[in-house]
This record gives sequence, C-alpha cells and structure tokens, in this order.
Amino acid sequence: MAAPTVRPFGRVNWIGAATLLRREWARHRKEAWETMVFPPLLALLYITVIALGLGEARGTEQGREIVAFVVPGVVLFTFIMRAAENTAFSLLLDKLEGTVADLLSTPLSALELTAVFALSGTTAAVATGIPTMVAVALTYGLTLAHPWAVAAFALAASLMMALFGTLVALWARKWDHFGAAFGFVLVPLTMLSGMYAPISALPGWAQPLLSANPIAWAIDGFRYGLTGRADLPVGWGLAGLVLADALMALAVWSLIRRGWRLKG
Amino acid sequence: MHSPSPRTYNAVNWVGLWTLYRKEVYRFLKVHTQTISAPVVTTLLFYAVFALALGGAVRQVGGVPFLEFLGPGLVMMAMAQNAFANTSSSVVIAKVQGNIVDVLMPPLSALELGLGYVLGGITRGVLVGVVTAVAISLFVPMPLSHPLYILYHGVMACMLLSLLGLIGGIWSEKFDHIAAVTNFVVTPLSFLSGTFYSIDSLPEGWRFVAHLNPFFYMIDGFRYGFIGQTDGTTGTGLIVMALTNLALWALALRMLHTGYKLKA
Repeated sequence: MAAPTVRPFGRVNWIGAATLLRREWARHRKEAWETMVFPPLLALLYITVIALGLGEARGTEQGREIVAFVVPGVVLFTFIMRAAENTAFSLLLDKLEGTVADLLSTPLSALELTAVFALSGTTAAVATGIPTMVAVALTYGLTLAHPWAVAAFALAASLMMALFGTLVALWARKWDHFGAAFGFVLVPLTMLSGMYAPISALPGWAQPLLSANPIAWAIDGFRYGLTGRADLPVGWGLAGLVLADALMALAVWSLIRRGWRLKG
Repeated sequence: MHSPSPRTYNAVNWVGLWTLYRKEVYRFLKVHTQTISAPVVTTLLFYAVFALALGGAVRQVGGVPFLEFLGPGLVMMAMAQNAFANTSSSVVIAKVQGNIVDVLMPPLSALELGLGYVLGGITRGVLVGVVTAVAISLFVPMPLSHPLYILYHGVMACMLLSLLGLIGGIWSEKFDHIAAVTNFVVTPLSFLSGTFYSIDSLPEGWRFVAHLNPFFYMIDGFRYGFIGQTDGTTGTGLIVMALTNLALWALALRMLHTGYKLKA
C-alpha cells in the first residue's frame, strides 16, 4: 500500500473551501423548515398584522401606502436575520462543542475561511429571501421598480450580516452572548431603521442617529428597488454598505488569522 | 452506618415537586439574557415600532389612545410566548438529549410532573410580564383599573401557554416539530389576537375568526384590567380561559400518565 501523500494545491485550496461551503449549506438545508419555510410565513404575518391594524385607514389610499412602505423592510428583514443566524449559529456551535478544531486544523487560510462564511451566509439569506418575496408577491403584490437595486442591496446587506454573524460567533463564549448580540444589537438596529416608518416621520433628534445605521441604508435602498421610493441618497447608501462589507470582512479575516477566541 | 432507606412522604411528593420546579426556574435564570432581557427589549421595540408605523401617537381606539391600548396586549404577548417557550424547550431538549429519564424515573406522579413544568413556565411568563409592564409604564399610563382581572388573566394565560408548551413538547420528536407548533399555532394566534387593533374594527369575516381564538379572550380580559374597556364580554373571557385550561390540563395529564411519546 502506498503511503498517504499530501494533496498539492495552488494558491487557493479550492477543494477545502468547497467542502466547508457544502457543509454549511447542508446545515442550512437540514433545517429547511426553520430556515426557508417559517421566515416567509412570519413575514406574511407581520404584514397582515400591520394591514389589519390600520384602523380607519384600512382600504384607503393612505392605508395602501402604509402597507406598501412596510413590505420591503419586512422582506429584507428575513434576508438579514437568516444571513446573521447562518454564520453565527454554525461557528458558535462548533466553538462550544469543540468541533472548531476540525475547522482550524484543516489547511484553510484565514482568507478562505472568511470567504466561505461570507458566501455561506449570503447564499442562505438569498435562499430564504426569495421564497419570502414570492410569498409576499402572491398575497400582497410586489413591484420591481429597479431590479438592480433590489439585487444589489439584498446582496450587500446579506453579506454584511453574514460577516456580522461571524464576528458574533468569534466574540461569543456562550449561547447567552449570541442571544445578547441578536436581542440587544441586531434586532434593535433593524427595527429602528426606517423599517416601519419613514425616517422623515421620526423626531428630529433621532433622524441623524438612524441615518448613520447601515441597516437603514440597506432597507431604504431595497425599498427604492421595489417601490421606487427613497428617503436617503441611494448611491451613497450602496457605497456605504460596500464599505461596511469591506471593513467587516477585514475585521473577520484579521481576527481569524490571529485565532482570536478560537485557538488557545 | 445505616443502609439508605426510602424517604417517606404522604399523598404529595412535595420535595420532588419543589425540586422539579426549582430545576425549571434555574434552567431559564441561568440564561437570563435570552429568557428575560432579550424578550423585554424585543417587546419594547415592537411597542415603539407599531406606535410609529400605525400612527400611534395621534390615533384612538374606541376612545382610548392607541399607545395605552397597545401596552397591555404587548405585555400579554410577551408573557404568553415566554411561558410557552419555557415548558416546550425544556421538554424537547430533555427528550432529544435523552435526559428526560431523569425526570421520569423519580417518584413523581403525572400531576406533580405537570405542576412542576407548568409552574416553571408561569414563573418565567410572569417575570417577563412584570418587567415589560414596568418598562412600558414609564412611557404611557398603565392604570390598574381592575387588578383581579389582570391577575386572573395573567396567570391563566401563562398557565394555558405553559400547558400548550408541555403538550407540544411531549408530542415533538425533534426540534422541527416544536418549531412548527410555535410558528403555525402560537405565533399566529398571538399576533392575530387583537393585540394591535380592536377586533371591532375588523372586516366581518376576520372578526368572526378572531372570536374563535382563545388568545383573543386572554388579551382582551387582561387589557380590560388596565384600561377598563373590552372588545368582547368579560364574563365570556373568564369562562373561556377556565375551560380551555381545564381541557389542556386533562390532555397534558393524560399524556404524562400514559407516557405518550415519553416512555418507549
């Protein structure tokens, strides 16, 4: 029998990266009910509650406007949450179970790991977001005013959240930390982002705060893509998101490279 | 040295019941960020968001300012969801991990088992409810118009949801099953219960469906305790809550007694 030899690879360990990506996708698919069926239903439920809660405005032009305003935010929310949960849950589970060693002992560079997590979270978000868009389109109707903006903002926001989820998992030492990051950071940032009400309708002191929230740029741009309405400058929003993506990717890469809270 | 002898007890194994209850309470207190703080923050966010989205500051529901109408319902929703989460997660995790035998082996009767779990769920529900109510009362008046209604509906609702969680947990063989119960039963029933709007304002068809939802009666009765105004009739609410709880107790005790999906 021949002795095992090292598989040679060039600058990028494609097989290794593809293997990890396949595992991440399998984790997403194994929980298909929770990852791809419930989020669309929950989105429909939120929109229904808003539509029923309109009171006297129900059935009027103003009522339709309110619902049309809310829909894009609720839809993008499913992208955002799925992207963050996908990476945060997977990596933290590995850390707490000790199986992260299997990841760290493979010949995958920090850059490859970062890329795989980013790609995995983004893919999962799209796999959840598209059924949500279909479900909303079939029930409440969905317009596509600027398809490029829909795609660009959904992808940029999902990528940002995939990286955010990775950062959460790197930082967390127990499940309570995971809960804190989502309950105290992500959910508030998302809900207070012009998701349910135009930024211009908020108290004056709150407007600059919201305008500095990247999730607000994402929701506003996504809404621009669907309905054509924008409250913030769309181009700057996209540039800001891409910058945020780059900075977070840099942070994830340098932390993984140092083995921060992973090794030792 | 004496040989160990069985501890004697009378009709009720008080020490055993107390131990199970303490285990149920410690279980959620240990991860209080996720079980208390995060739900409270999320509820307050919902409050802010729905107030903004539905034009809460100026609107009235049946002569009551919308923000005062919304408060008690949101408190009740938080109580209900957390009471359910406590018993359901406890049972499902124990079943999946196999340590449910530690609960089934001790000399605890079906009633003692049921009480231990349900009281644990009520404790978490009430704790979340009190913290949320105090937080909301900092922003809008939460007058205690009929304290006995608040107490009755608060406890009965937590009991109802704890029982649902217990029953759902026993029925579930994996996490997907309990997630289905949460997403197809508990979340829709609680969102479409009249928390965010007055049932009277709904279109005819929806109003009829709303009156079939037990969650409507618990929220309506609880809210009556605060704002002194009801969408239904208070007497019906009291009876519906009592009967629903009785029926669920009967089912839960039957399951525990026969060992349905608990003992192979």
